[in-house]
Amino acid sequence: MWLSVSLAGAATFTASLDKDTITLGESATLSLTFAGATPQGVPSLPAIAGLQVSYIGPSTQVSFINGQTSTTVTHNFAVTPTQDGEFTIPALQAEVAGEKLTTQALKLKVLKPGAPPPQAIASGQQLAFLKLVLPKKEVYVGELMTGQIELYLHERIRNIGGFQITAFPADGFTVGQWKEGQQRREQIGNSVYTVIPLSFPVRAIKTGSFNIGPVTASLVADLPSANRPRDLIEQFMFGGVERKPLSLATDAEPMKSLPLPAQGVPPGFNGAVGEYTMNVTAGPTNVSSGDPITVKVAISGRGALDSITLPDQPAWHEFKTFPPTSKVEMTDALGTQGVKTFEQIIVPENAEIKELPPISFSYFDPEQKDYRTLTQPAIRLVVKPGGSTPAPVMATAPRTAPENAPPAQDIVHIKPRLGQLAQIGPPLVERHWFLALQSVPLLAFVSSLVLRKRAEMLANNPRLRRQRQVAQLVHEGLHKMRALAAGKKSEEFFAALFRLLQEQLGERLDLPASSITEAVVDEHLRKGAVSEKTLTALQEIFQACNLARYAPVQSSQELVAMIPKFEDLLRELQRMKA
Amino acid sequence: MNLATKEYKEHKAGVVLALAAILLALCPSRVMADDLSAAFQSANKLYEENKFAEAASAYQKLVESGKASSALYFNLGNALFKAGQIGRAIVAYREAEQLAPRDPDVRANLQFARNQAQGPTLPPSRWHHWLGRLTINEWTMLASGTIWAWLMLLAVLQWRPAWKQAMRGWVAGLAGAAGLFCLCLAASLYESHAEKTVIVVARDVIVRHGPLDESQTSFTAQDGAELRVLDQKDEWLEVSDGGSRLGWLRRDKVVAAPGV
Repeated sequence: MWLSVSLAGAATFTASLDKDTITLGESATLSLTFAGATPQGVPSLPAIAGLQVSYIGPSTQVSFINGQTSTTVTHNFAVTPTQDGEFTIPALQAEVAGEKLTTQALKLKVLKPGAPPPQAIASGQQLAFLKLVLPKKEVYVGELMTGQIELYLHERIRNIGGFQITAFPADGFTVGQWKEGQQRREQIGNSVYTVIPLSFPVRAIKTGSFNIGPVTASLVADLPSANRPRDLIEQFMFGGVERKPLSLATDAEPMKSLPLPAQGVPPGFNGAVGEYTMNVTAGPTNVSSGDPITVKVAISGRGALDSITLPDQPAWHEFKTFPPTSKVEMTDALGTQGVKTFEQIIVPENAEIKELPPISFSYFDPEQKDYRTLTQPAIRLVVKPGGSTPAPVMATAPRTAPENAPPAQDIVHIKPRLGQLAQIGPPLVERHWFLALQSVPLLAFVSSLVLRKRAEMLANNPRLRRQRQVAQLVHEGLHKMRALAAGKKSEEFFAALFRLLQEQLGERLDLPASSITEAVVDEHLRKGAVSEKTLTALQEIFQACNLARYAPVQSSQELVAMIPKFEDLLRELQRMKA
Repeated sequence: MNLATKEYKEHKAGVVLALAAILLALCPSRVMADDLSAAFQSANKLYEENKFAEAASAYQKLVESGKASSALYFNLGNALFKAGQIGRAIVAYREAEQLAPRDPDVRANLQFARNQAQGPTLPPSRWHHWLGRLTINEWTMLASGTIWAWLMLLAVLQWRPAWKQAMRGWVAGLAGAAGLFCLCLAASLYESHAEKTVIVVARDVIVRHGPLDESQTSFTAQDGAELRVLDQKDEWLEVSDGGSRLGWLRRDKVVAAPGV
């Protein structure tokens, strides 16, 4: 209902171009706008000779004005000319809700791109211009050369931004990524220009006559403002510069791409064009038949290294060959020079092979305008009849196959005996018991090391050694004393007791055991080295020993009762600081 | 006298009983070995009668019994090869190679089968070839033996320091050998466990750019091609021929290769 009202009101269909004049290589945008109505689909455009039209997409705008809604739908198309001239986009018709709407016809002027005339350049008044520099006018198909675009910027240009090459027509050639070179300054007329060279690789892919360019580019140049800034804020924000978009173009350069000569094509030539050298290595050279040999072929030089392939080597028929692997290492930023290394595994199939046959690589040298063949001399090989060399009669022949056995024609026959059976299971290294067993030598070594260290420590510490000897002596002596007490051998009991006391005191006081007497003890222990209680107990023991010499104790219980007292005393003495 | 005779008789009876127990314990394995040997001969007979597929399945049943020998895998490989299954034959030969890595017959037939495999395949690596001269267990025993000898020598030298000067070369040599053998063992285990290789067991297997039946063809692998596994997804494996070719193929078209 609303649509019908709207249509009845003011449905319009208009066409517009964002630019009516463009340079060949640029594009214009054609907008078809439906106001007050929504079309059913995308309107179709008729084919226009010299123009390529591609759909970009729609955009919709809805607006409310005084409570009324209006809708505008715009379909955008990119219009790219393929030639220069003046073109007319005819009036277009569209049917919206049964009503036929028509646009007006549009005109588009396409200018031929080109460099400014030489006089303009020579005057030094040109703000910026481009030059296309190609080293040759004639190349061979497959030949790689380095071209250059030189961007000249007048000294008035303070800075540039948004530089982009908008078109680089190069039919019959492939153009690689450009790299910026070293800037230089050049005087033209009375002006000084900054020259920025942009180098790029170009490779001929078709034969015939072609044009490279005109190359077009756009940039925004910062120029000193013609008007003085009104205030400091404007000076700060805009810096007193004026931004000027510039479109630049070079002239087209005619190029001739020649076919490779049909005469003198070497056998094995597979299309490599450039200047190359070759280096071949192979190893190992002493092998058994069936063992792999790695052949490395390094082709270095200038040309399209990426597309080089290792030619077939018909002389390798006695080897099993595997597909080669390759890697390219470029030595310049443009990728026109470098080394391509092929690594190929070959397997000698019999022991008669004495050498790796010569390896050849042919290429066309565009500078010399002739084919060249690089040949690596044969590499001497020693091929032994290895275990993996199949022999036709191996099933019946003894293991020692004759030297130079011919290649196998069939597999070795089946084995008549089952042989030694093995349980299918994990390898030893994954079995727990085996891993545990490996700790045995380690434990043996660690134990030996600890024991030796301990022995060394004792050997270097006589006091510690004596301490341990006395401890052992006391331990054994107490056992002996218990036996003597049980046997009522009073005299031997006290002799043993006195000797143990001498040993323990001698060790503590660092004196010979035989020198320990009651007087010595008094002299050394009175100084507060032991408690009064210990000293008293010690005196009692000494007195008991003295008494026993003249009045031996007869009772076993009395002797046994002395042992704990003696043990307590020994403990006290052992606690005493040595 | 009577008492001594009785003791002697009791001792003799004990020995007899112990021997009987050992024999009884050994008997089942002896019987089993005899059975396997008989089944092996039957499979050999099928092979000699040119019934290669039947022979292959007879050998396969023996393998599935849990015990195997190099000869069994070798003959299985031969039967499979003659039956036209190059990929499966290569798998069997590689199993045989694991048990008897220096058997010239096994190496010859494995090489012969590999030569018959067409198309892209992993190139033989010298490192793999060199490690494969010994089984993992043999590398293990070498590494373990040298470590034992080295540590025991060090233990002895703790108590015989006078020998240290004379044995210095032995200590260094054994340490070096132990380190080298341990490295070889580690490399062997790495090749066996980490480096997954599969062998194509079907003809004209399409290797695709992606793990989908709709994906574009990358290359075609032939029966017997050995490929390295890079990744896996559901029923698909990403494989490479060791060079520039890689792609995805279905798991059911390949068999995992035995390790070194």
